[in-house]
Amino acid sequence: MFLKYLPLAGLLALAGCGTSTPANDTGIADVHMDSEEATSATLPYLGAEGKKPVADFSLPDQDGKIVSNKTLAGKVYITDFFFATCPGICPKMQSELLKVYKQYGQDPNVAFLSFTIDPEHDTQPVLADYARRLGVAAPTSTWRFLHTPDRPTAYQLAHNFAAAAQTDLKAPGGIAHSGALALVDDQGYIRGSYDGLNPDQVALLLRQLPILLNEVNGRKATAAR
Amino acid sequence: MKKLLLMPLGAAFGLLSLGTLPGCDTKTTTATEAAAPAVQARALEDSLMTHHDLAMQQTEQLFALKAQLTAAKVPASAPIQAKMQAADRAMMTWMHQYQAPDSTAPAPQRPAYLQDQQKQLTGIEQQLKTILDSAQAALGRATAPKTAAPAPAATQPK
Repeated sequence: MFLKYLPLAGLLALAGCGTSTPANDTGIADVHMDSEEATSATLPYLGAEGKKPVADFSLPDQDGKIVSNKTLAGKVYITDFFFATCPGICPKMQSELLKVYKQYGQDPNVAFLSFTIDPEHDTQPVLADYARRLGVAAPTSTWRFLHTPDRPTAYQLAHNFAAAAQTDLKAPGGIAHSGALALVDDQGYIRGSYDGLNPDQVALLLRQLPILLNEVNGRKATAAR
Repeated sequence: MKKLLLMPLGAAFGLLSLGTLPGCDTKTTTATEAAAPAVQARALEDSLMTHHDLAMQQTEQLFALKAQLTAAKVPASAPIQAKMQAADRAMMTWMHQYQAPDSTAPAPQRPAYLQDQQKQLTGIEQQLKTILDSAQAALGRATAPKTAAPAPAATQPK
């Protein structure tokens, strides 16, 4: 099994090299906006059918804990679709998402969700092993790897996110294998869609994430009054 | 005159160059030869991944079509669905056994492995394409509007 993940390990080693350098020297230029810019901007609500939250889901993660829209309420989260034996795009996509995790993994208001599209192979132990190899296996880790009940459900979920994010439905590898990342707000609305294989797009995500967090914090402050 | 004096110098430089160039060529060729399997492997792997992406898309289409066949209650679609399942199984089996050779095999062994994998994947792609075409045709037949029965020939007034 170890040999299967060597490519992942290699790519992660590369990602690790990048993160060992100062934040502004990781290949992602100007990832942080200044506070004035962050407070003045607002992310749009994506979706062809107008403002519509993502479909409900309730799935076990790599530790067997249930993750659902309810457990994520109040949090901003980033999603992708992958499978553990994916030889092509997944290691690249996950190493890009790891850059985001390195900066926001400790933020209790941010979660990372990776849905497997190969649930038959990617059982809970396989997902736990994958998380360990990625270096995000701590029980408190905010990156959760979700086990879908079957492939039709996984594809349906991928389509739901893609449709809500207005992703190109004719991606070369299909919707579930497109490398797309979705940014979902605290109320379940998709507020950003990015090509997880493109470092520039991931840099955009890193610029937009604090904007959304600022909006969410504002909402929470208002609600607390 | 100056030109005449310079000519032997030029010739000497030329000979020197000829004498040294083959040495450079040898070194370059050796380096190229050593890198060739790795370069070839990289190109083969890129091509294989492109085909893998295509097969992934076909697999996704397969699931969508399977759902449509079920929803449309296409008569006698069981054999088609069984073939769809077999094609999907072949794809998943290929993915589970494939090991990116860059970290598991020395460069000279990689091209042969990748060529073999490409051959397997091409067969699976064809299997997927064939069953996708059959499924689409069956769905098309089942959902096509029924053509009206030909109207009886108009009676010609006598």
